[in-house]
Amino acid sequence: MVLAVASLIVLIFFIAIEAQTAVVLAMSARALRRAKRVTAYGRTHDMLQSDSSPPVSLVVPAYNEAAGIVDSIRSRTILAYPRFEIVVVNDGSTDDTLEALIDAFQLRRVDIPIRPQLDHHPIRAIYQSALPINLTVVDKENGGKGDALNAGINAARYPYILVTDADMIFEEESLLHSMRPFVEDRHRTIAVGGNIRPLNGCQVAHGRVEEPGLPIGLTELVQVVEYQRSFLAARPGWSELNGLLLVSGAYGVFRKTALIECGGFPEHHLGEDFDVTMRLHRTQRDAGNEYRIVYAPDAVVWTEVPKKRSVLRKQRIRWHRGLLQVVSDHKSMLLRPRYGVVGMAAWPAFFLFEFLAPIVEFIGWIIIPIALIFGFLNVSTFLWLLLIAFLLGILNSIGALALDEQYGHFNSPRQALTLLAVATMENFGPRQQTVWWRVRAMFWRRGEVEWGDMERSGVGNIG
Amino acid sequence: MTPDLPLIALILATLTVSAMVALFVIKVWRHRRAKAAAFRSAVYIGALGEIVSRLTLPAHDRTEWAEDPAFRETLVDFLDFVDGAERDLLVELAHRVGLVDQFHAELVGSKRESVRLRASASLAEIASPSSRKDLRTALSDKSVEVRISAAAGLSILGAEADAPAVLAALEKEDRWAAERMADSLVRFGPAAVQTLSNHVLIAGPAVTPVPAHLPVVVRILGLIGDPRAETALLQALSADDAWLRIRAAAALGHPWGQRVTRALLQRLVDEDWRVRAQAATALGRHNDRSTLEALSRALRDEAWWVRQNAAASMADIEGGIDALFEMLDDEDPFAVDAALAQLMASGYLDDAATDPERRRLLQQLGRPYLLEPGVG
Repeated sequence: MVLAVASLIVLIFFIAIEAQTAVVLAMSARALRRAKRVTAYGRTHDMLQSDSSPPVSLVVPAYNEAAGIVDSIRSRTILAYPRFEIVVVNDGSTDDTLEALIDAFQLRRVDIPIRPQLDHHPIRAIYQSALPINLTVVDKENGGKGDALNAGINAARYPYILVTDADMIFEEESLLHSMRPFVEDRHRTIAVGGNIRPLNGCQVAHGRVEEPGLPIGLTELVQVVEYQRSFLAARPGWSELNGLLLVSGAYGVFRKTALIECGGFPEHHLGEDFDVTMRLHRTQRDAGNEYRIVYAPDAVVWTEVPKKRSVLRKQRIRWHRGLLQVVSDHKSMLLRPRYGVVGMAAWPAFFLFEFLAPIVEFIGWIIIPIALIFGFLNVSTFLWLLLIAFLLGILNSIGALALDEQYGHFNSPRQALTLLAVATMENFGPRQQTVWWRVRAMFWRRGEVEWGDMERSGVGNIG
Repeated sequence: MTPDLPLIALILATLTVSAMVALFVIKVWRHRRAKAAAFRSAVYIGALGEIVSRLTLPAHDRTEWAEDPAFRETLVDFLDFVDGAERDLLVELAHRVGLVDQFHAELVGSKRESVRLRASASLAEIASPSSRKDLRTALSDKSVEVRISAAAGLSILGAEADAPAVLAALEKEDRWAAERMADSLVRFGPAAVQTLSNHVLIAGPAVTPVPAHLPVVVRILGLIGDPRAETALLQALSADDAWLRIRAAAALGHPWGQRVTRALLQRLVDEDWRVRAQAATALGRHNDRSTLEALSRALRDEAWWVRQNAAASMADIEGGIDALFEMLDDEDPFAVDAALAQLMASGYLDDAATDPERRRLLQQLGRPYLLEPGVG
């Protein structure tokens, strides 16, 4: 009897996840429609000529990125935005990252004073470019990504900080679109997240995506659908409610003072971006400030996603361990009315459907077969519930693909069919695999932290 | 009550399959439509190019063009690249094919925000004098984006009589919407100066709370740069509100005479660092040697931005480079760094490797690495 009830709970939980996703998807659809309108006719380009467009510091942490760092920084120097600087932080790389930057950008050593507003490992030297570009390189001892970001924030001169990874490819106007929410509501806006898309399969030339395309491998294709679900079907909806829990460290703009107030990025953390977003919510709510953390769907950036399953496994395990750290550090915000939408809706939903989901789903794999074998569970009921859960999962993925429709990518008959097939297939195998990786992630000793070990082709070599 | 699971599954399965088919059909249809629209756009670009190069309109009015979104977008884009007689001709074309009337009808008649937004944005680009009335009406539209577009359209037309209407609309906006609308108001140029100056003068220096639009008006006056605004801006520079003083200090970066220079020098010791920073920058544009002493003192300011701006301004003023070199002997390390950074940026240390005097200076400052080949 207990087994039967537990099995039913697992299946109903499975359905509840999909139902929650569907509700957020509907909110996202509304938000994206408005964003599309504003992008098309909202005179965003006026910002290019306006002296009221706030200046931005792009902080790029780099660790052993010699292969692609020069192309990556070069692509950032031609962003469409009136005033910005680039601050690269070499986090004690053991390869030629620093030398590559010195050669390519004619860096010369300078001795500028830095106000130590956030803690980080010692800085070895600071360089600035002799070329007519606003580039500063901070060379510091290795301390991890969060530590590197803090050093970059200290060295940054401007009041807004764009935190981004070295391997991202920006659309020309991504910075413009991500700064628009600050211009619209400078008092309340403290952070803006961007729309990250998988780069695999795209045609890249001169540091730009010339023609978006789909990769060939199933591992990569599944990630395309996953990214659409996350960045188009979920984040816009939560942003509408001011319940966005994660401004990705791969592309996020922050008000510098807000970052400093919350203590900056944590050292030795696997989910430093997640943690800092939660602390932003916490400090703003504790101080009783009116604030908003916004998602900008038109601020599009592209990133290479893992091609090999083994690399994807490591990445997902790392991400889930980051989630575990955040859950542990911020559990006190759960169901606390003083944290508003975050404490009462977004964080509980995340806790239930991201943190607990793999545990529940994994338990289901064990107890449902046992319950079926011993006849505790009605086979027919089980099969119908399973079918309903899968159908809801497929419907949600189709919803995300439909939301992507406005961007006009992947519209050829072949690409459309491929995505629809992947949206169906991912429920049978890849999804269960991810659950297994997340369960494995839980067996880990806190404190083991290292930079991601993603294998990269170099941004110019993907096609 | 037990839910009818097979029925739920059947409904969901039907929904899933229908959604898949619908999405596939839409994607393929969009794909083909986009290809066709790209082709038509190319044809329109050719046609518009022909019209502009010959400065002649087609013999027959092609009213069917107005129905095609590809034509509307192409024409509006094209208007960005032409001016003078060519622009006038394309505006006339927009009238003849009925596009302007269509946008007018959409702007005042449509309930859909997206349609009104498209109409106001397009009318702003076309900027036909016949649109003035509708654009003025649109200044009170319920959508902020429509209002901003309408202000942009009126400013492109630049009729002096419309400046007060845009200012009145700007007054009702919150600060950041007003900032965006102000970008349009700048286009009015000297025609708007009297209206805007009077507005600042009437508000007075002690106005509290400061209306959100007032600092914006001060900023616009600075960007227009007409000396008739001097009195109003000096009043704003002495206002109780810091934000108003910041904007006034930035706006006074015009060499309008000693009265302005003296007022800015007083603001180099303002309690708010942002005012000091803007005053330092503004003084650089005055190019007055007598300000160098005060700017040198500003190099010791506690705020980095003030030090940087003061150093940059000194580099722009006659005799300022010598003053920056003198500051290298200062006992305040932050002042030395500000001066050194500016001298490097201005290229005065490029010859340090060969010039014994410069070499001695860098060694004395404890920065001999700047002499390394390829580095300093």
